[in-house]
Parts: sequence; structure tokens; C-alpha cells
Amino acid sequence: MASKKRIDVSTPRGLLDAFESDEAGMRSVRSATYDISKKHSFDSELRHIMKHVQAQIENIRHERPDEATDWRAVQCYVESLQHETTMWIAISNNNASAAWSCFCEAEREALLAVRHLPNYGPADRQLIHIREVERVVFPPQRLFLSSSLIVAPEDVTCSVCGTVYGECDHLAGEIYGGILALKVTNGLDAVREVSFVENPSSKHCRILEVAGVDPLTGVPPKKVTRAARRERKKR
Amino acid sequence: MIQFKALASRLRHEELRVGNSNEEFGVDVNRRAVPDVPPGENIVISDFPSVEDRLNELGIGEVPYVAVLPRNFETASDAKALILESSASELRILGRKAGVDVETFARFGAREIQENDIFTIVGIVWMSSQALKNAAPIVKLLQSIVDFAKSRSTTREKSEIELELVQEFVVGNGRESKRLTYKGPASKLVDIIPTLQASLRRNEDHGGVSSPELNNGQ
Repeated sequence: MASKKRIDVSTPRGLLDAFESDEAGMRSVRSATYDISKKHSFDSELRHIMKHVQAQIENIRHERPDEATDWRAVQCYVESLQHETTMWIAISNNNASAAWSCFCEAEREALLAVRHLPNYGPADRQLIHIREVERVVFPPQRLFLSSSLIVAPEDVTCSVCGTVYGECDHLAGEIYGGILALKVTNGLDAVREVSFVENPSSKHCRILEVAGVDPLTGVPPKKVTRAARRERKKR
Repeated sequence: MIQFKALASRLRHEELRVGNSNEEFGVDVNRRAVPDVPPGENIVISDFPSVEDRLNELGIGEVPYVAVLPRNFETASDAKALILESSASELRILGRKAGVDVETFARFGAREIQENDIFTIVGIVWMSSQALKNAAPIVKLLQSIVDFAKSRSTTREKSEIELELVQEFVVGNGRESKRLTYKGPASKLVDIIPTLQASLRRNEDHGGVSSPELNNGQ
């Protein structure tokens, strides 16, 4: 955390309270002007907290599913903070593409946090903040891509119980016993189209190159060689 | 979550059909044009063709009292060509929770379309005259659809909802279907419930089915 307050990590509420009490300090660490080394240290702290939260979920999800669900909601908020911090680090490293990916994840997790942590002010403010970051930091992007796929209903399963989606009572987007329910598409029947849309469900689906230029940076995209990818994986 | 590597491999080996026109694709997957909603309003009521006749044409026969109609319901050549909105499974779950058996046509070979746009298409929900006789679970289902659609879109910017309710009424010896189309923000979707109730009361005034639960505002 930005200040040296002790974090109560034994309950989801305790952890949220700790975040709430130091929200301004955390935001300053995540701002564009702050010392990059402090961002790195904040990033590793958040990763450490996330590991703890994940361990808590794993430990209690069978015995206390409701508490595990509360932990998963907290995890959404912490992940949003962590992805935002990584985004600032990527920007300072001049890596626009990675920064955009981190922004998309930060926004997605903030949306989940707002939905699953009702009446928790910092989550609402995080969503507003991250959208402001998009407006101020990134060049406006008008077109995204959206796929249109045809699937057999029996090829779509539930991430919570593994049965065919719709046969169980788990709704995608909700958290059950610490697990976020998702529709898992295991097979495709046909690809209908990929179309340009202004408001995609995933902002990851952006156009990477137009006439040799990345629309996000205005310069040719960096070509990532296999060797560089292997090197990054090792690191 | 899609396994893109497997998808790319199947595309390379031409196992998957790819096409954007109905001729190429072999199935009409285009959505019917919904009636124009006047500016400043979100709800419009219009006529809808007989669902029962169409079900017989498709060789499906009778279905339970409530169904999610596929997007190409009016044009599909047979049941296997039917294309469901991706929210059909969610409506089935919501129906089960509300105590209403919702037919999605998946058991007749209908497939699902997944479109990753922010625009939320809830789908076409058909309610038979039999279902409307016992309106309490229907209103409960509708309320949960409204809550579901709102929870999926309130935190998103610029998102819009499209929901169509098709009500079947008994008129004299025959049946008549009316379509109630909502198009607009999630925050105003709740307006669809009083509009449905008013529409049912109007029908009663003309000798249609009786729905005391709706009149009591349940």
C-alpha cells in the first residue's frame, strides 16, 4: 500500500476497509507522474495480495461458498488496481500495446467489482477513474472488431459445474462459491462474420495495423520475434 | 473463451464454413427488422404472425406456454435452420427460477449465434394465451428478465437493450398475436411491465383472456 498501514487480510471486508482508508494514496501511486520504482513495488504488493485472496478462495470454497464469493468479488477490485498499475509501467516502458491490454483488463475487472461489490464507493470510483484514463491517456479508437459465431448449444458449457450451459442454474457473469460463471465455447459450427463495431464487448479486439501503422501509437507496430517472445516468457 | 488455435487450424483445413451472406452461409441468420420505435419513446406495439401456424410449418408442433423465438423464426426452412440469440440459455435459466418452462428449440436442433457487440439483444419471448391465464409467474419471469438485462448493461457505457414480447390472445374462435418491442437504455426497460399489463387489460375489455393477477398488479 502507499502508506504503511497494516492490512487486515483475514476477512474480505477488512481488506476492502484497508483499501478504502488509503484510496487517495493508492491513486497517487497509480498516477502518471509518480516514481516508477514505487509503481513496481506497489505492483508486487498487489500481486502478493491477489495470491493470498486466491489461496483463501481455494481453501474455503467447498466449506463456506458464500464467503468464497465475497473474496472473489474483492479479487475483481484488486485485479483492476493491479492491471492499472501494470498499465502505467507499460506506458513508462513505451509499450502502448501492452498498456492497452492492461487497460482492457483493468476496466473489465472494475465492471465486475462494481456489480459484485454494491455500495462500495472505491469500486465505483475505480470504474470512473479507469474510463477517464482511457479518455486522457489513449488516442480515441473508433473501430473495434466483433465476431459472429454459430455454435451448437451443447458445445457451450458452464465454467462452474461443467454441464451444458442452460441446464444448470448458473448465470454467466455471476459468482458462485468463489468461481465466476462463464459460458465456455468448446466448439464452433461456423464463423459468420467479423464486423467493425464502435462498442465491442471486448476492447482487446482492436485493429492492430492500418497501412503499416498502429492506430494506437501512430507508428509501425513493433514486430515481436519468436526469440523475443521466448525471452519474455522466461522473464 | 474460444480455443483460437484449434479454430485457426480448422479454418485452414476448411472444416468450418465461413460466409457473410445468406447464400454463402446456407441459412438465413439475419434478424428481422424490428418495428421502428418513434423518437422519444422506447416501446411500440405491432401485429405478429401466428406462432402456432409457423411451429406446425417447421414440424415442431406444440411447445410449452412460453418460448424464446429464434431470430429467423419467420424465415427458417426447417427446425434445424433455426438460429437462437445467445441469451436464450439465460432466459431458460431465469424461467426455471420463476417456475416457468421456457422452450428454446435447442432440442429440435436449433443453433446459437454469439455476437460480441455491446448491444444486448434479449430476444423474442412468446407467451401463449394459456400462459397468460396464469400471469403471476409470467410477471415474475418478466421482472427477472428486466433485472438480468439491467445488471448486464448498467455498468457499461452506451449500451442499449432490445426485447420483444409476443402475446397471444384468444379473439372469438381464433387467436391473434401482438408484439411489444422495447428498444432503448436498460434503465427504462422496467416500463415494459405496466405496458404489458395495460395491453392485457385492453384485450380483456374486448373479450380476450382474463388475467386477474395482472389486474392486481402482481
